[in-house]
Amino acid sequence: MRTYTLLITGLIVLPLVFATFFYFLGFLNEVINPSSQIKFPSVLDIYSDFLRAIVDKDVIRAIGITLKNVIISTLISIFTGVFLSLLLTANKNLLKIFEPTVDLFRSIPVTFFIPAFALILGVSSPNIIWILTIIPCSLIIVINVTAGITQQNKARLHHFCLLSRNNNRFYSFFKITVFEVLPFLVSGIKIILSYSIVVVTVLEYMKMGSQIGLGNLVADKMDLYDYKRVYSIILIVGLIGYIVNKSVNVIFNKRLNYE
Amino acid sequence: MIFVLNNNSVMSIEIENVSFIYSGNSAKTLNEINLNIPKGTTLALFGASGSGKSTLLNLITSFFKLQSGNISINGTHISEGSSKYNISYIRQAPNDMVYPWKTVLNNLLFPFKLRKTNDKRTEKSINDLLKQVKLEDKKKKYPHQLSIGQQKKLSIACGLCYDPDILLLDEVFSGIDLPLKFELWYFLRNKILTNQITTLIITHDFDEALFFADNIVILTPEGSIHDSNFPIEKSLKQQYKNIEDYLSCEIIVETKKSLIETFKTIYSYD
Repeated sequence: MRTYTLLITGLIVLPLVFATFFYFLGFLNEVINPSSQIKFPSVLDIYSDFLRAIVDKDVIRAIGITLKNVIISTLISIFTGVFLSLLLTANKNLLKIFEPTVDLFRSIPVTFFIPAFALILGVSSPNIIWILTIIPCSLIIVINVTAGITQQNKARLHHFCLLSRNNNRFYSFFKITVFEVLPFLVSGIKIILSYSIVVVTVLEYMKMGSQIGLGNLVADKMDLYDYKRVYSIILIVGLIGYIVNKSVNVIFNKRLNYE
Repeated sequence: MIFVLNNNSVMSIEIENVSFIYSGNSAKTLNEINLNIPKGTTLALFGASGSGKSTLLNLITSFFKLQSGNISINGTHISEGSSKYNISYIRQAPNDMVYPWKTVLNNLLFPFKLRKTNDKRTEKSINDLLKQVKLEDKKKKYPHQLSIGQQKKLSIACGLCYDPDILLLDEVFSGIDLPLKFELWYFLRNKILTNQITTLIITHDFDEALFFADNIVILTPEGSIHDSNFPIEKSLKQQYKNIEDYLSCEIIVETKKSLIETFKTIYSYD
């Protein structure tokens, strides 16, 4: 089958899978907790509310706020990650010295940093979302970019020096290393885009640094037992993640057609 | 022992008492190597895997730092003069030679752009080269869109496009089918002979060495050059244009026999 046929089939299968999943949740709700006052909404209710939600003013505003937080955090993470990677790979020993630190930091769930930054910045500061997203995301970029630099094809680099008759490290860096590392960086960007959507919405849900993001809306609607809207917004979050990832793929596949 | 081929030209590679040891190894990989390759001649270097053949090429191109001895190109020590010469080092893996983010055409134009010598004449010569290696219809493709054989052709073209003075070939033809191998042999030998390129070729293929080389030497397991060498008259190459005819002529068959016998004796196998 052709790629677009598979894509269209995938887009038809997607709501069916979600419908089955929601139906299963409703079924579990009935079987395990039949005396519950609040019933899990029907699949039809969720989907019709989803269509209403995507044109709802509050939801659109929340999407804007969440996307703003995601984009700012991602951009700062890329900048910080690349800068740290260049610093670490400037010297072989430096990378070895800091490798355990990077590995340890990336193993700590970001939510564990909440108490510290809540204390420093205050719970309502929008910076708390950015900082808590930037910490894990920039580490992902550091890991990817340092891998790209250290795993660079040395023979090709040597060939470049023979071609250019120039052994200058900075010259070869801008002419060769940047292109060698780009696929690693792009793969890191794809990961952190999905990851930052998750972290930002979870922090919003915890009422950290934002009052009107998608995560906040989920929390508010849960307080009101409006489960139709809760799941509509969750679908929207998933859809944003999908669209962002697809857009990045399209942009980079056009410009980065190798490896 | 120093092997000198009869050629009075000025450009040459001189290797004197070169030894090399990898860190962590107790034995020397290269042990007091002496070789002299004058301009326009081709030397084939034989040796088992791990005997230090590629190490020698990496030393000539300054990829590895020289530990002892001296390597000069045209009389100038490599550390002082390597940037003056057009050296081309074609490796076994095409990926080591081509830049995956550049199209076939841009890969070939890359050296000229780096040296700021790109002009209309260059583009014409590159197009001619692409025709010779039968890649003219692939010039807008990226390397990963080519077959392995086409990638080999591209890597050879990349190594030759800027008219190198010195050509180093490291098992370039391994892993490709016979028709393509013969096609590339013809093309490359023609270039070497026409442009009088000083060539050092590393191979495990006796026929390949006999086809290209003016002299063949063997690297021993101890990392030194064996005393026996196998010179081949240049006139033979002009006399026999066909590969099969050339390889089956009496002198070449005899040389091959004696080369195989010597190799067997050095590496102690039947």
